[in-house]
Amino acid sequence: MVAPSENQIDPALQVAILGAIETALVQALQYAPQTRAELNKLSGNSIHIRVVQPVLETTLLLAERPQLRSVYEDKASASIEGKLSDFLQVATAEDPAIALINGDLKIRGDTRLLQQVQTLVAELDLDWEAPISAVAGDVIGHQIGKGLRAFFRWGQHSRLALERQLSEYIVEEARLTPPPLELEDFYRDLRHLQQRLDRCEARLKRLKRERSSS
Amino acid sequence: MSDQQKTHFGYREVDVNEKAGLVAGVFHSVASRYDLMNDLMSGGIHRLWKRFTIELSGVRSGHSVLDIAGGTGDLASKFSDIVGPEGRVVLADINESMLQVGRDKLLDQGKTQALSFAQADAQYLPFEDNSFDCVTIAFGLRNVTDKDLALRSMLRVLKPGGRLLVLEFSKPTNDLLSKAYDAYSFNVLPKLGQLFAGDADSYQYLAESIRVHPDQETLKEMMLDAGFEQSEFFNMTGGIVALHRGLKPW
Repeated sequence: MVAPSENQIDPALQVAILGAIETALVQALQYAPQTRAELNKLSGNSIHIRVVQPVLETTLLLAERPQLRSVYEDKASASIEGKLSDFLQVATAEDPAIALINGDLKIRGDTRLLQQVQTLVAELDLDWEAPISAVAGDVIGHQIGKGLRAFFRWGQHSRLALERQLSEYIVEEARLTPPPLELEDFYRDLRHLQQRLDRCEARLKRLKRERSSS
Repeated sequence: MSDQQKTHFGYREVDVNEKAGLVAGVFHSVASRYDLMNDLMSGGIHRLWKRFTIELSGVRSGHSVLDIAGGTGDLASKFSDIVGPEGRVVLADINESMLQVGRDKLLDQGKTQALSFAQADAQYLPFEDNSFDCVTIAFGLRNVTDKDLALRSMLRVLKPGGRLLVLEFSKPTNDLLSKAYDAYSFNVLPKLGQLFAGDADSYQYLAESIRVHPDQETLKEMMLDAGFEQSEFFNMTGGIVALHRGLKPW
């Protein structure tokens, strides 16, 4: 059961935040028919989300038209709890599914449902043409939509290329951080040194014992 | 009539028998501009207060809901969507003008399913015992002459386990906010009323009636005294508004 707690933000503010997110979500889903159909299959399920720092609690009711509730008194199908930074870490991870399972977020209930929703979010593909065509007509809408798709594809490629080049520059050119192989060598040497020290210590102890007994 | 019992009408003390007529006058006067004024006065925040009320009501498909002092039907409209064709929503208001505006608005929205209308006094609800899963009264209780009598009447019509939700102006929890709120209520509000509804007096009454209405803890105690259990309240917008909830014992 999720009832408003004392340390939560003002209910009116919470309702405003959740209402704005819900409206944006519903509007976006208008242009993602595939995701909407998938969400419809999950209808009847709910996910309780609790952010502890800052405190924000909501239950996402899955349906073709999803709802975000600040109060939900039934048992949610799954729940997920953690700091805002933990949520952001999962959202920005290279593989969010693995980050979700291995991260610091506390997960209860139907984990498969969480993974299904996470996949839906990752595969969200908005049809930009539909809203533009409604305003500008089919032909112009198609052209702008094509341009936008190309722009987003370019943006995605540029981001990946930039990430790769930046990491190469930091490691190889500026040498601000050592490359992974060098780091592994360093850690191996450190391990060997530790083992030698341990052996040396044991030997010293043995010699000390022998000397005191003789 | 010096032995006549007295009650508040804003800051004025009036005879108990007089209050209903005076309140009716206020609402006859503002009915046609009621929604516009609500948006102007609260900056639209009244929609958030009502949304939270709906969430906390726990109303679901098939439930029966009574919305007392339902006015222009904001809550009843949402409830009719939630309860669906199997449920029942009664929009009740003592004031004929408000009920007329509410009924027209809901009919214009195409909301006819599961909805019915009743001109009713909250103190003497004309419904059978144990007949509603949820009773709501939003911004109406402070206008009722005998609040204890009204709370007992609401308890009577609720089913055991059913819940009452009272959304009402209350006491700000912060002194600074309280001062700003007072300045707004007594200086800006009547002027807004004059400008947009052509009626400053009704909005002067609104500001005064909020100040003489019981604060959060007092109303909570009144609900417990009336027979509700698990009475609790949630402050919204710094306590300018509070939502009280109580359950009818099994």
